[in-house]
Amino acid sequence: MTLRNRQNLKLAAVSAVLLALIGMTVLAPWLAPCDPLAIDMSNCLAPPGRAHLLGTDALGRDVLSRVIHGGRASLLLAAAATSLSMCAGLVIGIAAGYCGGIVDAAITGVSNIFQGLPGMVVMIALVGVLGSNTRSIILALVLTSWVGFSRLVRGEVLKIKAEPYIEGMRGLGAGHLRIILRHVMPNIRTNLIILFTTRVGRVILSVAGLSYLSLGIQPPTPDWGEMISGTARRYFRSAPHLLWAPGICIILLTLSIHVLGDLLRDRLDVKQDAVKEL
Amino acid sequence: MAILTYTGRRLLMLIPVLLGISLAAFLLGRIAPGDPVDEALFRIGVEFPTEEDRAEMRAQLGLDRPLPAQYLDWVGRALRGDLGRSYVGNRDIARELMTRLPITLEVSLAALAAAVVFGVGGGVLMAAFHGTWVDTVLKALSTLLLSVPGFWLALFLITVFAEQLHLLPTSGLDRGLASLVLPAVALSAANVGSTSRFTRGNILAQLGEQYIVAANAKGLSQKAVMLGHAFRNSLVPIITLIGNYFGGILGGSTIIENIFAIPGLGSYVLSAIQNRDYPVIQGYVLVTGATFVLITLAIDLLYLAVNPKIRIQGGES
Amino acid sequence: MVPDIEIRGLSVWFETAQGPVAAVDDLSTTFRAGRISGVIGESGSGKSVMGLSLLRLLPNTAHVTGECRFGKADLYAMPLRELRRLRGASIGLIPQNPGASLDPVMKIGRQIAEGITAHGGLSRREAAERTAGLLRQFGFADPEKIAGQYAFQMSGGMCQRLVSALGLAGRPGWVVADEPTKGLDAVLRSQVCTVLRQIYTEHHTSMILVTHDLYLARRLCDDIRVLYMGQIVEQGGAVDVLDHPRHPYTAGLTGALPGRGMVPIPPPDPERLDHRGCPFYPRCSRAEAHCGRARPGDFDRPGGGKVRCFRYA
Repeated sequence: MTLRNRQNLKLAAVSAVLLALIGMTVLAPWLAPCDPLAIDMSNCLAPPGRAHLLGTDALGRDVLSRVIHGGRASLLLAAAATSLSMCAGLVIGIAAGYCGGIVDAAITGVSNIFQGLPGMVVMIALVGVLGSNTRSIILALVLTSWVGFSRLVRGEVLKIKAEPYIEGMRGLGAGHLRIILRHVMPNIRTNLIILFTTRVGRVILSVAGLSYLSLGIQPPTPDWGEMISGTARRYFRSAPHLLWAPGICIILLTLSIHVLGDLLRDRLDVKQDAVKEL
Repeated sequence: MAILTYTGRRLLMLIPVLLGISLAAFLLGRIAPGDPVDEALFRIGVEFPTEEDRAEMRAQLGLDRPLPAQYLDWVGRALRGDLGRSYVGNRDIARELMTRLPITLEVSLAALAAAVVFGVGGGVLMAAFHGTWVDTVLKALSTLLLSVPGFWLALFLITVFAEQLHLLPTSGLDRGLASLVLPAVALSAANVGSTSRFTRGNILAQLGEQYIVAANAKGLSQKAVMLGHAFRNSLVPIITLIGNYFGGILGGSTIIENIFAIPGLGSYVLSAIQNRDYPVIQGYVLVTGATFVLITLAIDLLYLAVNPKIRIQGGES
Repeated sequence: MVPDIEIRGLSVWFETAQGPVAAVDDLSTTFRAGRISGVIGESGSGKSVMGLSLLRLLPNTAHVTGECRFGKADLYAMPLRELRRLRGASIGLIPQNPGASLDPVMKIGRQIAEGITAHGGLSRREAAERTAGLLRQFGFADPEKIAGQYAFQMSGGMCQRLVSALGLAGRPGWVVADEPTKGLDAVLRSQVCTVLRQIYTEHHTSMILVTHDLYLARRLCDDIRVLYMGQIVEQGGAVDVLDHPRHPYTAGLTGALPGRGMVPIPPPDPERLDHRGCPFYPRCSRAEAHCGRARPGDFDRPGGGKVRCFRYA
């Protein structure tokens, strides 16, 4: 088997796992056997059994149904926040690279400051002050991750601007911005995809962390991070499956995203230093 | 001389970052929901303030002045070590933060040390055994570590090492080094994963360089080539990376302190968030931000040891 | 007594994303001890790959078959641990691209001393003294100062002399000089030539000189092999081969020199690309129809040596 075939096989396997997980969360309302919010105080902390395959939590809610639903909110949040960061990074990066001069210096200065801030600290403080709602969580996530994207884009624009053929096309009367957009996007696509992938993985972990601190997805909405902090945390000694089920989902999700990122990097033959995020 | 130039430039670069951190901390207090004037009046027992009460309190808090003046005022007080008093319990925030900072630093630095030892060590091992099963297993393990949420790992470690094996304490810091082990491991796991992957990749990239061919041609042992040449050259980027990770560790310690009941900055800020105690949150951002910047500076100065070009010429960044 | 180096049936191919790429194709030759043996050809002809294969310094993606007799040992088959003992001590390398061949973060003196201490028997002090002696031999007036400096403080010419010292640090009987004049200006090239001549005469070192620099080869080498697409197409005495080239490819190489008309070898004829004959067939100006159907063997070369061309059958 050639190297390429082996890579394709791995890529297919990882994509299948990832799609299965995403499919599970998207189709949750149809897949879940019970209502994830239905409380049944007469049947709390039931061990896994026939009626409830993964048992019930402290409020008697079906753990399996909550696990199936548990990725929806945070996946959506992570995808939205990372896409927004990428858009912001694109606009800011192109502005910095294209305008140069004072604009570039200003943007670089601001990026340096943002990079100097400890991300998780800012996120906790911001969400803590603004309250845990979708808007403030997204704001916090975007504020802490746009810099990576804008740096990547800026570097690429500067590189393209220095290419002699750009000078030539300008001589032929093509607009500067148009040239840059036409040539930057194809060059930057692979790196952006990879950066997006690794970022989504990290953002999912951040959201789970926030949820664990009761600053992320709010109960009663089922969420893996919240499930671990809510019920599992108090009862994991007597009911360890409460810890395992949501934990494995988060790990499997982020693991497959990270492996996908690695495989894309190998497959698209990107130089290690092109995407420094790991 | 070059050393001084380099250090001086690094110190100058601190200023905008410190300004940014202080601005962020200050603005946090301004964007907080609720009117601080009403809150302050409520705390001294005025439940139904008149306009005069409010104007008086506003002047007393300095909130009637323009924003930049308020900022300068706030920074000035912060520089003198005055971060105000907490809403809850009316305690001196700066003093409270300073008693808790060493605890958080202890846990975070232990985690950083673990990330360096296991991350760099693992990366070197993977590179040395590149292409063998050792590499495959360690690489899978490091990718797994990267994907496990710290809080889940912490609970898992507690079940195994504290509940089942009774080897290590589950909470507090009163048993010295033993009580540091689980928090440090849980806190550093993700960083061990990424550091080892980065180290591996970087050493492997070095192995393709010409000077490695030349070193091998001299007849050096594999160990001498690996550690003496490839590893030494990959130290510069590795050090940069580890410096950046410290920010993540400081933030992550909030969660870990919560799980292991460690009375550090993290547990302080979490209770402050629950109580809407905004000045405490501001102080927390300021102190952790400044700590992060200073630790990064210290790590940057390590470049002087590993990069002769900076030592001799002062070098660009 | 320094043994000869005998290569038998060497083939090297590289794994790439586009599939396997052959670099050396069933090559056999003997490098005689006590002489300077030249290996010339264009870039990509496989000459450096052949040179580095002797010390097994090719990247992991390279696959090597064949054998290489060096005394009783087979360099390609012996355990790497044992080969490391030969590297530097029996066969030294003067690497390509001197600037990049010096470790950027290690002091020059230590880099050279490493090549001395690696083979044991000498204390650090003795190694330092020998390093200083070696540096002085290569024209550094103040060896102690140079030994304490780093590669980025050196000029291009200094780097070239330093890697030459590096290659000789272990006092090897053989030295492989890999493209020592690549990318150098005329002044440095003649400096390198002097240094190599000095190595040969003062250290009595047998040498394999891998180069695309025909002037250098002509001035230094006793005998010469011309490589094209991983095969030796012509071999014989250096001056004779370069002054009276028999193979059309060698003739093309010498004809492309400034003093000989600067006629470049034509690019491959697209209509001849699909063939099963002589590798040079698509570019050969003297090819006949049967050249594209069968591979030529090694025929006796007028003036001594061998030539792989049907015109001498």
